Amino acid sequence: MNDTNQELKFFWVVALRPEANALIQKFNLKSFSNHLNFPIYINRKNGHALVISGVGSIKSAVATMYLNNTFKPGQFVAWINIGIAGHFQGPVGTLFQAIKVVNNDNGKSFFPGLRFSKLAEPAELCTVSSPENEFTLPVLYDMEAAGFCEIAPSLSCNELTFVMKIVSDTSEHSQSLVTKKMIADLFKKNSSIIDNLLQAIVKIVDRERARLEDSIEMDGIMGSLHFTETNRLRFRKIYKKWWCLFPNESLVDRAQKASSAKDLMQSMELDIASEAQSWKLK
Amino acid sequence: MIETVFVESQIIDHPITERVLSRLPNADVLNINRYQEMFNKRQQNFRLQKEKPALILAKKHDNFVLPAPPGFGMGSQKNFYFSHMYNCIYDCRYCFLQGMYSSANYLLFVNFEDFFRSISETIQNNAGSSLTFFSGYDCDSLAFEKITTFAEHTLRFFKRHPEVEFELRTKSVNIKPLLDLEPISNCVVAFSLSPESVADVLDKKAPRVKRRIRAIKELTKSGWFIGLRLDPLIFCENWRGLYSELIEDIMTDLEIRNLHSVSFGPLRYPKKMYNTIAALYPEEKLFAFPMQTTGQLVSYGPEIENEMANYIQDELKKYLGTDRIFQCLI
Ligand code: SF4
Repeated sequence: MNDTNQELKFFWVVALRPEANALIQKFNLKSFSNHLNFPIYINRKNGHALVISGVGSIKSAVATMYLNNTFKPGQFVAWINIGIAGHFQGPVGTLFQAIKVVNNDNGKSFFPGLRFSKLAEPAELCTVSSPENEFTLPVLYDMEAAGFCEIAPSLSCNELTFVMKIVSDTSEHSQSLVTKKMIADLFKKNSSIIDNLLQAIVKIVDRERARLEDSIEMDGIMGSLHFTETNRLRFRKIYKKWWCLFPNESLVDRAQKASSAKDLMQSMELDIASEAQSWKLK
Repeated sequence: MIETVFVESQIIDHPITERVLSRLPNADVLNINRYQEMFNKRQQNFRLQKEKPALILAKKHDNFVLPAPPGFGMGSQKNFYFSHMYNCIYDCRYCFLQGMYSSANYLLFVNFEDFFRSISETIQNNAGSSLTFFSGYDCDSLAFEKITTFAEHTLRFFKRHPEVEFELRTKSVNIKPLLDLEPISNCVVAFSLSPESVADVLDKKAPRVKRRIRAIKELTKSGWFIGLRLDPLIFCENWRGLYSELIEDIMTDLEIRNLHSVSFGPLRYPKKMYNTIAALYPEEKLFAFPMQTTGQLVSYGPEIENEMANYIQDELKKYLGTDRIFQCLI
């Protein structure tokens, strides 16, 4: 993984500039690039990156991919699609976590994210290709989430893909009344809920990172000795086992003295084998 | 416990669905078309999902009863298994379900009636052979009983079929539904057990071994036939002492005549499954052991397997005859 991107943990995909502005302000994001009509903002210190996709499912999918290609983060970051949405009932201002997303065009469904029903109300969401005013079903309506869900789980995993929507319009409160100021207010109103969700999400991100990421020592050794691609994979596996048994020991000295990567791996395997007869499960 | 239930629209009115939902009044309930759209999705993270599994209620359409793999069974001519549920509320670290399904959500098939119809057909089609049916291969048969009432339904069904044997495999100590019934002579309640200190590390969320042993003794006292499943055998420091102690703890004061069978089996995985599970829990010492890979199978290797099998067998023979001791080799 690219060193400079290690601190990015949250990858936001939003459709509208006013939605983005609320987050840019909240997380003190700075402009990173503005190509292909997908402006990107980041703050490496607090780990946030954001892309503005524009309206529509396809744009949301492409922007998600674009943000991923720009930073190539690991499989342990959170992807979050947040924005305003219509709801059959409301009330306006409620933040929902969409735990089922249906693409109205093709009927395909997605079940994104670990569910945080104690922090945000769960709901079903229907992604439509033109603005919805009828609200015929008891669900949320948006125009992006299905496209986002088509891509994001493959970049990280389904459980780290989140869709959050704030109700901006209902059958009683028409979409035409939604203004930039109102969007800013809706985000402000839900600021602490968003913070709570992020606190829960970052715990999972950190755990997954610890599980999946190569350690600095592992990286260093792979940089200092010559490993074939196959040996690299083998080393990762052996290293994880070795580290599990000897968490307080370092391999650096041994790696420096080893005549080859193969030598080093053999000595690690011997260490592991020597523990076998008195194997401790804890 | 369960915060979210997804229900296939076609079984929303099924009596078992209604019962399950009535047991989970605070859960959010969402409709789905077919369970596969959720359960079989790729890119799911089993480990994360296991922290907060949802319950999926669905209808099973085929393959209700399947032949058990060769090497599985306690002496019947033919062995079958059926799975009304995929995944388990416990979280045993060695459990093969972790590598079998991409989802950790609980999938419950509510159309028990179709399972029973299919079991009846299997019995008819195999008249003249001794048959055993196993439940608890893809889940724990009893752990979810308060919500599903599956065991109760199934035991009543097999009571009407004394010509075949039924084994209900569990680690649950929720034996009240069994104690409320008259013991059924062709039904065996089989408990999976490991030494206490091994289970304390590996049988996460499952009842402690002491409680399981207590439940076993209570059931035998009330007349139920019990099976002991020392499976998988876990190799660790002082394993001989630990297994001897476990066997002694179980056998002391046990109504031995109600002990139907004891089986034991090695820790083995298909290679791909082992790699999947080991990658889910790289910090787990169980998967740091220098396992042997032979063809597509990962195991402790024949030396350890045989040593453990011989030892366990000898220990068991101190308490019961070889006709009730079985080695399971799948
Ligand atoms: S009780 Fe059985 S099915 Fe459940 S987690 Fe443990 S090994 Fe798996």
